[in-house]
Amino acid sequence: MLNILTVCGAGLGSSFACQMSVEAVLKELGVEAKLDHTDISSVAGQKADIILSGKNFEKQFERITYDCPAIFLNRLVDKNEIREKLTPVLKELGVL
Amino acid sequence: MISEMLRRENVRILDRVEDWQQAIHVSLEPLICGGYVEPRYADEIIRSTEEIGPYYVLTEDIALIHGRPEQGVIRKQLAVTVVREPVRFSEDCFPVRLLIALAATDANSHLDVMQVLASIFLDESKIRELVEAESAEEIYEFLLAEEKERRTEVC
Repeated sequence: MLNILTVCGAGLGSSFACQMSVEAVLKELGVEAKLDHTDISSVAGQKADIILSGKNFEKQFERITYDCPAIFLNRLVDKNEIREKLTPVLKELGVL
Repeated sequence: MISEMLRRENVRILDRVEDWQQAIHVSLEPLICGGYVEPRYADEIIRSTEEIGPYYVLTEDIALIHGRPEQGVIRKQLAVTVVREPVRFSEDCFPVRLLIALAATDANSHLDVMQVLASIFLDESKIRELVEAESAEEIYEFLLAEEKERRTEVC
């Protein structure tokens, strides 16, 4: 099962809202995945196939070790932006 | 549930706030007064914002103002403030009119409330309806109706 992790500063508000938007997009795409949300300080060492976070965190991610594609969003809850950025990654991973 | 996490009197409409720091103080005021968060919760969120930027601005018009449980959360709760004049949390950030203050005690126990909020965040017409509401009462009733609708869908 595909693991998708959404990330924000606190790991319970923005990332949670983002997770739900991702969930809605995946449903439309017909992709099954296990979703979870966390805070940026807990990302390292978490198991994920795709990470989604806010654009404002892009720089901080450069300092973290993670070995999966990361998507940075201008709008954490925008289904169109999520679909647009997530689809190529899902294709690359062979799930679409 | 929204009906348990949001009190009618904690939905407010204001004309404007001076700056983003005041927006945070104003939006959290009901949670501090109600004993749901410690007074330092506001300062902690302001400090986090200065460090990592406004991580709670989700899209145009929406800020879900929150910190981590250890930053002073006592009990889970919501407060909603609409400001008529949009406020900017940083230069390159969207202007915001809907300030939703969230106190969460852990990463998941507010799941049902987040589902209702997420269904609003995904829908521009619902966001517009909230920021253009004429009274706080209208906002409160709208949120309750959203929750009811979601529950019917699930059942």
